[in-house]
Amino acid sequence: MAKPLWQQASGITGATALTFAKDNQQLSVDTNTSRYHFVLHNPHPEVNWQTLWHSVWYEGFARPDFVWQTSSAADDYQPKFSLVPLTIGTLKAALYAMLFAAPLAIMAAIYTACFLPAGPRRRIKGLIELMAAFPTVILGFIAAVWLAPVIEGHLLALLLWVVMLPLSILIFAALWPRLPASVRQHCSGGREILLLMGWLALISGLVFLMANRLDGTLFNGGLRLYLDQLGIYYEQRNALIIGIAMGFAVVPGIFTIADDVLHQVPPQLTRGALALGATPWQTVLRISLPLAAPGLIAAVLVGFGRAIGETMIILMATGNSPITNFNIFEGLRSLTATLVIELPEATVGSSHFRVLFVAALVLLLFTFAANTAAEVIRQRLRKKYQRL
Amino acid sequence: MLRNWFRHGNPWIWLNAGAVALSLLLVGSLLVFMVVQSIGVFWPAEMPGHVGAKLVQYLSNWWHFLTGSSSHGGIFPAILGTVLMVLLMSVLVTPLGVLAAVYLHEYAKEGPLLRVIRVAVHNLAGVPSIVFGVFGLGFFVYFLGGSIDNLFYRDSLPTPTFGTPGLLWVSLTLALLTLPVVIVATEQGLAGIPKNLRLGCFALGATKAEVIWKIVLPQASPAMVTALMLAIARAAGEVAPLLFVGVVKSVPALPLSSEFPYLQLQQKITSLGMHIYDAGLQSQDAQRAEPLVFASALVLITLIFILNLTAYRLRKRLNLRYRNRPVSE
Repeated sequence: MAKPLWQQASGITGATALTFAKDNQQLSVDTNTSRYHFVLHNPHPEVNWQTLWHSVWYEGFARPDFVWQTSSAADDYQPKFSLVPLTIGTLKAALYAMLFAAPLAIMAAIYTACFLPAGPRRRIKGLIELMAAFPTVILGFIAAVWLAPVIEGHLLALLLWVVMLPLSILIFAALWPRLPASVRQHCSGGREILLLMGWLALISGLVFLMANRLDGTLFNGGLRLYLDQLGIYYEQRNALIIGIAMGFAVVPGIFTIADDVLHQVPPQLTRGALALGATPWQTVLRISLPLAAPGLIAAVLVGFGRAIGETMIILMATGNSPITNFNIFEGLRSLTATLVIELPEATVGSSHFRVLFVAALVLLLFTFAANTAAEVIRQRLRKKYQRL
Repeated sequence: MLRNWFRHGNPWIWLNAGAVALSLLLVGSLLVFMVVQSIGVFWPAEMPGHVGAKLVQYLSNWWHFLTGSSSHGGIFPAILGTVLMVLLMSVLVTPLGVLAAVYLHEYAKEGPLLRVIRVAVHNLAGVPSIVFGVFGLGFFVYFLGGSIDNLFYRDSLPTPTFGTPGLLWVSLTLALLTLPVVIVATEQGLAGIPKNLRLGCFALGATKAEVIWKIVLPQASPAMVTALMLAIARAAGEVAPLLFVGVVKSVPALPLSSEFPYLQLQQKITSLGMHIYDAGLQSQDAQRAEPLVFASALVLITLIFILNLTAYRLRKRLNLRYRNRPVSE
């Protein structure tokens, strides 16, 4: 693994011993007759590409590993700068947030852009964009002190809710034609959303009550304890919490772009499809969605970039332990949170300080790639729409 | 039957409607949750007397909370810090953003260069705020601040004056952070000015500069106010990048003073967002601090929502103004 940093013929023959000074800045070579001193200029000996991105076998470790440990109480301490756990942590948080946010935002955008009249559409769009106005420090605070304990106590309710919610919407859809015509007439043009909100709130309450009953009977004492018995480690502040809280923060970003691109689909195409006898859903599925698909990808990319750079929610609602896995019930430590925790305390100009700047550069590269791709896709899509 | 039902598409449409309803439900319940958590914090439940007296006490508790110093459990330093950093940011970002928007919309020619600039502006909007903080620390604080110290405050070195995090650097970092917001919103406003207004001015013999500075920009000023409000709303809630450039959890003195320069630009400040982060997660007595943190969060959210709603209103009014104009496009 070791790679020579520098090579030069020294002209010394018959060397018997080679010693580095303690600060790694001096090298002395002993021969039988004399001793030679070399001054090395290598200000950051502990950092190179290998130590940042590859597993390194540190002293006292059983095997090579990715380790981020920058400070310790011990004096003769070797700092361990592996950016891998942090990058994995960032990607893990973004992944779970996108799993929650992307489907929700795109489905909502399909409805507002394709099925709502202009007035309600503008109002609902404004309300969903209001989600973006929530400062992330508040979301992080609520996620940490309220959401995390609540989810720990009602894990089963959450699981049931995820299953029951789509089912309950389908039940609502089946019941809808059986409602009296006057009610349906009254609740058209966007007002059915209000009805649906009430229905969802009702179902959520029922699921909550039901899950609390089931928790007692099925898992005697709750799913949380049952997980412990199974040997599944559950941290209170984990990736699941991040997925929900950060998902909430990225929904409006994805929604706005997705809604825009779906709404800008040339109307002559959709109207033509409807005139030829396609149902509204067929029109959306076969005309609008395929046309706007690049735009939807751009929306997801922008959301992903936002999730990568999100700081306060991750900082407050995870344990900030630098681990390298994708377990949903364990915490994580992201690049952003690491910067907040360590940069104010790092010695200016030290290797640690510089590695933190590298971490910021990695963040910048991620979001730069995502946003540039998204913007290029959108510009091309705009041109395509103009041609049609 | 079920298959036919699905093939017709109605259930899918309802599922999409459900996503809208769920998003709205989430926003609504979060707002209600915040209000419920914080509205009763200062209600004097154990105080004897009837409701009127309690109400007076309740309001005075709020007043003490908003205007008290941090040693008395108030958040006045945080509010003042937030207001100052945001005001200074506005002063810095408005000229820069407006000039950039005027260039992009009025002067630049369509072409590859303009396309690159647009991609860059969008990219700037997407850069994580924390990266701006790191940049602010490296460039503003250590490079710019260090140079200022070397040039003007040499006698007080090695104690840094500007070469350390402070209010000026906070505002500059925020200005960079909100620059794309201002550019995009101002440009939208410029695009909304009818073309015949410009053409009319040209016909009367005005030069391009006169048209832009005397006619177009004043007409687009509501758009600029909107842009600034959105920028302020974004900046007021920002915490993470400011940790590096001068926002701390508590300050020994306020950055305002009664003597000449009045405003201490090099002083560290504290902000509402920082207060929420610090008191919420790192305080010794979490049980007691939590309700107060919810109250601060309510203050911050109210401020941000008022700004956002005003911006939304202004934008709508601006759109209507030109729609009702008798001159046709």
